[in-house]
Amino acid sequence: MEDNTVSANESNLLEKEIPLEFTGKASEYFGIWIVNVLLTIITLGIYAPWAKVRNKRYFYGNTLLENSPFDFIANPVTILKGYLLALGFYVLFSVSSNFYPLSGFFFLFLFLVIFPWIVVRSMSFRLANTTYRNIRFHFERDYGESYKIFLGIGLLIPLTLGFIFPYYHYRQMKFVADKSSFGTSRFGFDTKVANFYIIYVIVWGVFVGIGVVTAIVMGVIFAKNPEMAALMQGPAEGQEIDPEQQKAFFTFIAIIYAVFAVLYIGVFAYMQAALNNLLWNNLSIAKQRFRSTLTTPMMLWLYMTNSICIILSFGLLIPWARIRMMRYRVSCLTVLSEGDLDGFIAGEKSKLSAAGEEIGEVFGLDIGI
Amino acid sequence: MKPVSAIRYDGQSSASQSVQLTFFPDSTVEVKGEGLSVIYRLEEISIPSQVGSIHARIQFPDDSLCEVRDPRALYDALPDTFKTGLLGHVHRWESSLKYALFAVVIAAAIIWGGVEFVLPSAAKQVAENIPLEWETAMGEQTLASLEKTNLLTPTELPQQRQEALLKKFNEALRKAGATPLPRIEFRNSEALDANAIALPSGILVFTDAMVEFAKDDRELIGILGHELGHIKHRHSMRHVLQSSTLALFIIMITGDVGSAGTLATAMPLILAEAKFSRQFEAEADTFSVGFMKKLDLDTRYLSSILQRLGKKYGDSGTTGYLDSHPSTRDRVKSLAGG
Repeated sequence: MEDNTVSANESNLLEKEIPLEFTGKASEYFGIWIVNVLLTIITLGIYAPWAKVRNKRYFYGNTLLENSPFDFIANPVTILKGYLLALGFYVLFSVSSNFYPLSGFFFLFLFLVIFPWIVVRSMSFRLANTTYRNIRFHFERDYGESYKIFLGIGLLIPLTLGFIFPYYHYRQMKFVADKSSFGTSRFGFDTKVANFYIIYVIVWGVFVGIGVVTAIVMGVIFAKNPEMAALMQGPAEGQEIDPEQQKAFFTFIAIIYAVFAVLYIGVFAYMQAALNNLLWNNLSIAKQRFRSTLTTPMMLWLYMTNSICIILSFGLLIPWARIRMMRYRVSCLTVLSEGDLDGFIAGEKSKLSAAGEEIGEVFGLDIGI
Repeated sequence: MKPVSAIRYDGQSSASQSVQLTFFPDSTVEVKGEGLSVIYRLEEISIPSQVGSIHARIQFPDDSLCEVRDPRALYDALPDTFKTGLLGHVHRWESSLKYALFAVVIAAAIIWGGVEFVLPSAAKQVAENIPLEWETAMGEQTLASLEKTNLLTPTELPQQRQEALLKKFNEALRKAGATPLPRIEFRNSEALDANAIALPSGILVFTDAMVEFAKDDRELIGILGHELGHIKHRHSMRHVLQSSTLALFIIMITGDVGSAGTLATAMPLILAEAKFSRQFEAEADTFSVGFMKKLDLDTRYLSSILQRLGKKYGDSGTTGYLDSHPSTRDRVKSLAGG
């Protein structure tokens, strides 16, 4: 008995809980967002990198860990170069695939081949420009490993009918986490592949369940109302459509769509919550671990209300929706730290300003973490 | 010369130190803390433009950094010549409710004007300068893929009927001066039923059901005029140009933080595409009126078949925001007016 109490106390003493805090305000962010949108439109997109940096600085700067903010220090000109490269690719792709539809396959192939490179570039750029307490994050540019995972294992997905996908996702997450560091301290990601399979089996199960239930419901409804089945087939030659029946039919279809939309967002919310928790709860750095407690009902509620409010406000509530989502995500994250956060050492200077940043964040891709 | 409180990080470790910043009139700043006193010239330090009310970041040439939690205090302490860097015009604009509302109005006006006028007329200009022959591969491959997926199957119309119709069509086209003659194809289609489509490079496809649905061949001439309108006005090229440009813009504006949900970002594109499609249909109808007038045909032949098609497929009578075509009532009305 006594031994247990002592060890519990000990671990409490060793591990301190440091919650993350988010101090962004929708009213303040609205001004930043609308000016970003306006200047991006007026400059035909040239302002977009500046908008991106201001946007990220607002979110990072309002995310506090032990009262210290994060910061994003990227040079917008570097991002602009990456955007122009992506734009060139997009124009080339749209023009040629419209004049020669078959060339679309070539571009798809090309994209598959350069995708692992883009992932490494984007991660490296993003982390190298993220700082906390004047220390940069860092991403090791391991192109070989990236090609092995994204191209090698990626190509096995269709061959295994998708059953390898959870493993693929596991390797992706592990790759991104293991190659990341803060100063000289490496992040580590340690979990079993089985945890990914559990999440995906649940998702697959829900989809199969939805299919079976829909088939049964449709079967019952059509068996009881043969005229509805007839409407589903379309009107026969010369047959007049009864407007009452048509109305009932469209209401029925609308309800089906609404149910599907909620289920779809629900599955999406579950995946977001489960995968995020899985990542953070198994991530560690130096003497720090993390705890993430996102829940599916809350994510579902946020996704649904955000989507509805954005549509009804013609987009004007986008800033509010983003702040709301970020506040929830941050509120669910806690750092479990043995000792304080003063012990991190900056990496080598030469490594930080590594060459080749000129291509910046190609495609502005936001992946994973 | 009131000192400003800040937190200093030396850039070597994550340890922090409380310091006081004092700005002197000779354009220098002193960073003072426990066991620390360094003086920098102001032109050596850099302060990125302020965003919202987050911390101000001061970077020093020796890689150390000071975070100031009260950017206002820093702004007040800085000499006038260094103020613009911190609180630039953009930040002032972002912080003012009045200017933000002004930005909403301007942005809405630009988006509306752009989608309504600028994009369509720019796409028209560009499309008219692209030779129709450039679309040849596009047209051939589209037709081939429609056939491969069995959306179009070989026609079941009697050879005689096909030839007679083709002859009539070509006569009408020549009489109306529509050269070069478009390639006209007959195909059977269960999915499209009674329909006619204009493919890129000017391939016109009439479905068997459409030919059988017409009570008079002059009705089909009206349809021919409509499809010819799609070709002459370069609608397939304009559609490609407009949609891809708009998609790019939507990605550019919403792409920075992708948390808004896919439906919310797809919605404007869907609405705009439906609007473009309705504009093209109205333009093609107008073209057909001119085409029929050149042939001394009554436009009521076109109105009549459109009305019957509308009835067959349960047209709602009013034009909705998601409709790809204007309602039959609106189309017939403008046919009569033109």
